[in-house]
Amino acid sequence: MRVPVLLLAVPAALLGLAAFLPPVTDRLGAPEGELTHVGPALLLPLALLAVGVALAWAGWRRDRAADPARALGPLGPVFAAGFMLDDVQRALVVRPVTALARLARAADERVVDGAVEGTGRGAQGLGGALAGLHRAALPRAAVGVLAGALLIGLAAVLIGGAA
Amino acid sequence: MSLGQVLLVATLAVPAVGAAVVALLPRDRAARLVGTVAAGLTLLATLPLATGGRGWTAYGAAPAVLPWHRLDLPWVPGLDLRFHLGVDGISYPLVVLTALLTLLCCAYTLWKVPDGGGSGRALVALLLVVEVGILGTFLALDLVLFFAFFEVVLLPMYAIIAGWGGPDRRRAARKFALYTLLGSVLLLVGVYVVVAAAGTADLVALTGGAGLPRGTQLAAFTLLGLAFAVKSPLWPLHTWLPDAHTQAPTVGSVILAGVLLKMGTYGLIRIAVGVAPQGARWAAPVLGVLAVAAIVAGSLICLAQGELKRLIAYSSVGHMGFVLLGVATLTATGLQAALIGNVAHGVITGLLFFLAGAIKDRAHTGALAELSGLRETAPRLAGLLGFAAVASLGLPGLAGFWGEAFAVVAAVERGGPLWTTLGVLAAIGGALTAAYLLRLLRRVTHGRPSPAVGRITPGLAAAELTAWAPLVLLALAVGLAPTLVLGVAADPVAALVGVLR
Repeated sequence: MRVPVLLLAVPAALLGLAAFLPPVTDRLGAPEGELTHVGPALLLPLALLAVGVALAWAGWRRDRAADPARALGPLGPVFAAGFMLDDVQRALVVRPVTALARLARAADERVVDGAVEGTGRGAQGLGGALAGLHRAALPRAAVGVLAGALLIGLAAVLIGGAA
Repeated sequence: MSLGQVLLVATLAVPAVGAAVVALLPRDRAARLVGTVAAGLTLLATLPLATGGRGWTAYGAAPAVLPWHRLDLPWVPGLDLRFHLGVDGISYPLVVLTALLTLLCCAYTLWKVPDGGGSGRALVALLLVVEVGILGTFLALDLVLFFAFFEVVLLPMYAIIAGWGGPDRRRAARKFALYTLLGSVLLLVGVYVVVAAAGTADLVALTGGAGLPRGTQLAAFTLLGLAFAVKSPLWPLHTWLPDAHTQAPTVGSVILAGVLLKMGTYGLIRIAVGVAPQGARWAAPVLGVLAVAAIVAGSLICLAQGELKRLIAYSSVGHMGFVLLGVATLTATGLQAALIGNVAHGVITGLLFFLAGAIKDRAHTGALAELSGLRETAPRLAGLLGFAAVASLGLPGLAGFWGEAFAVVAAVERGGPLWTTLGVLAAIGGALTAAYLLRLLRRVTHGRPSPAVGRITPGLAAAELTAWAPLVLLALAVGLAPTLVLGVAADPVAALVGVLR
């Protein structure tokens, strides 16, 4: 394990410094000053990093058993969780989308499919009602036939009279 | 008769004769073997259709449809109906896909007949009849013939679901048949409107509008568009699909998702857009909005879905939304995206349904809550599911990518506030697609094996690998070389876009 780790760790730590070597930058064809930006934006984080390392080392010197990060107090967990960005994302994106997904599924099953199933049931009910009317007992059937004959007769008189 | 015409006839006659022989043979296994051979011969007959005259050599403007091969015979002279077949770059990939998927399904049935009571012989015969109908739909160059083939598919598919499906199969099959019959009624009326107004049913003559008045075109596009929207299916006319898929046997789901839905999108491109271009331009915004609604709603529903096959069925709603968005833009890019999306969806969703069927057959459940840790007990099955899911979510380099990406590109290229918004929403839908497919993988393959998964043995049958391998290879091939589909479709799409202007 040691050889591959060394082979990877040494270039990982040092290869970035190659950006300061003119032979390398010339070979890459990069214009002067394109690869390196030595300025406040680079030096300030580096300085803060050095301060942090020094503080952690000092804390470790004082008490070798304790975690130096405890000195951060309540800020510790916030830093450890990456400024809580995961929680922000969960609250702003994941929860609303899953809630919306449940809503979409319920709407699809109840409203969209409900309308389809309702149409089917309605057609079945209508057919059943019509079939029931056709199966009526004799007196009602006779009334129905007479009413129909009356209607046809009226229509014939009205239309025939109009023509 | 030229070789091409012989091949056209063979493409339809071989499966038809095969179905009849399979139905007549008394021995079950021999019949299934004969059916598989017939499906294989059909695939062999479709492959050489690609050879043929591509150019337009005669004088004058090129027609909007220029088939590589065509066969035009009188069918019912009294009614002026013609048996008019042809193949071009728009239909050819779908024809080959249909022949391939039917062959794979027949070979799969040779190994395993789904439970449910029906004989394997009858299932193979029905698969071949469905193949005749679908191939005829893609090959027909006559509106009435198109409608006839479109209808041939319906009842055998009903029988496949009702005969070999899951516990609630009769209700699902009835819903499928009644719902798609509604679409067929609209299609019939639309075909009547067009044929009565134009005086011909010849698609070559009709494509481009054939001088139909604007009102007729709007009416025709509304009717035809609705009819194909039911089949595709377009949200909110999709609810027959999840029930049918959940209950259908594995081979039924593969054919249903793989090629049957394509009849809707193919019809939309070839018939609705081709015959009524003014109507298409008029209805394009509505179609685009519904397509994006299908993408977003389908993805959201998948995200909250708890059943494996139902989830894949709803994913089809989303994916067909991308295809329809491509069609709705009415640009060359959009139509190309729709065609390659069609083929990619057929390959990938066919594979997904094969895998879902294999998992359900082994675990005896499709509930995501009862499935987990598949990679522990069946790593190869889990790996294939991972491949299919990643292909379906549109990873570049696999088939699903081109259709999704270029539907969005086409919408943004179309420009204007509406289409840009639609493109952005469709892209968000693409992200949701990735979310639900990764959720599916996490639920099914990761974690500790559930009791249902713990019983699964790692082995895969040779028949299963035989059925899946071509789909895996095609998903890779179309992903790496989309020109397999786009190359043959470029000229016909350019011709179609030419008449849309």
